[in-house]
Amino acid sequence: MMLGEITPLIIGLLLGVLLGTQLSAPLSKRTVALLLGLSIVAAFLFGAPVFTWSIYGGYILPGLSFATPFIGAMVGLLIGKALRGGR
Amino acid sequence: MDPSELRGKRGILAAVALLIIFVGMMSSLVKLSGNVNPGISQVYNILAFLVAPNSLSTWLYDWRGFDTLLETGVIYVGAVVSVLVIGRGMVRMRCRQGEPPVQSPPLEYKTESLTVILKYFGLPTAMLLVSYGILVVTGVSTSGGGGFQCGVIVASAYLLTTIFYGKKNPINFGKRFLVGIGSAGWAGYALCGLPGFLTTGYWQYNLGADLWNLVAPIYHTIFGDPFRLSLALQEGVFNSTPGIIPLLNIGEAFNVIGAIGLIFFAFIYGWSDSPADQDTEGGKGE
Repeated sequence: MMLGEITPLIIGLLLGVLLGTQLSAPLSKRTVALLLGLSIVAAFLFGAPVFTWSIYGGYILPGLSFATPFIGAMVGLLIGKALRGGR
Repeated sequence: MDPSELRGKRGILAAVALLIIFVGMMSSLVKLSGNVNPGISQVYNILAFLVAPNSLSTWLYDWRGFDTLLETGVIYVGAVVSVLVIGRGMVRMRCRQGEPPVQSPPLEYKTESLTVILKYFGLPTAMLLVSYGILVVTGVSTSGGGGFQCGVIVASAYLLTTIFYGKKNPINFGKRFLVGIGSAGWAGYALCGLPGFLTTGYWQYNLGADLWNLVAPIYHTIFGDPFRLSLALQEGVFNSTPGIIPLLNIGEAFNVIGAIGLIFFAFIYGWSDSPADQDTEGGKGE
């Protein structure tokens, strides 16, 4: 495991929080679930960089990997939205 | 902005920062004389055929950095000129204050006229777009670039929600936020050059990658290890890091989000420098 596999995930999360604080629309639980589901699908489609070889970088099995920064960014957006307040 | 705001501490700080950057860049250019081999670098020759985009992007970005910084400057100039030419009436310049603004029909969006798909999937699409933009900028350590693209993608998400939902759109980028994030991008980009200048004399020298072996290993740890990846190839395992390139790209992404976002903002909401408008919700000068 290398730090280069984790750092993008953390940066994605932090940038998501930063931009998420600018979201003002109400989000229902159903929408949040939809967003998380779609982000996992998107992360699977983008996949992990070929240079990552551990679960931290999104690599799980040959042909199965996830772009973890994408999921981190989406979670960050939701956290930032929650920090801003409102529904 | 009123130029008088630059007097006092802020003006001194800005002048000192500009002086340091100018001296750093100029001295780096002088020092480069005789130290640069034209053509492809030794590292590129060793690793490129093994598919090592890290080293490729490291090498390219050492030179593209200044180029890209100036490109974003061009965007700002383009934004100003566009607003001056097309948006006259939105921008209440001081010299035009006596004239009545050009009235354009109000932008009225009616979400009830949107199709169900657009109404309910507009926001999720925009949030997925923002996430994609962030993914692009976090991927700079495994590809060549990403900051500019990230900025464009996030700004596109902002425009998309405006088209769907109107002025009170879900992505509530305010004037202060856009100006702040753009300025932070510029400052961050420029500041990334300072550590290299202080340790090696070369402005924006990539301390993490340290292609010329100029700095102590501690700098490799600080600037290189956070993004270091292990390349497991048939020929062996190579540890490679892009160094400060991801930080540069994040600065660039902020810069582009601010620049392009401000273009959209000015055309949607207009622009006002009056102090009363700075405190409205989101800093929007309506």
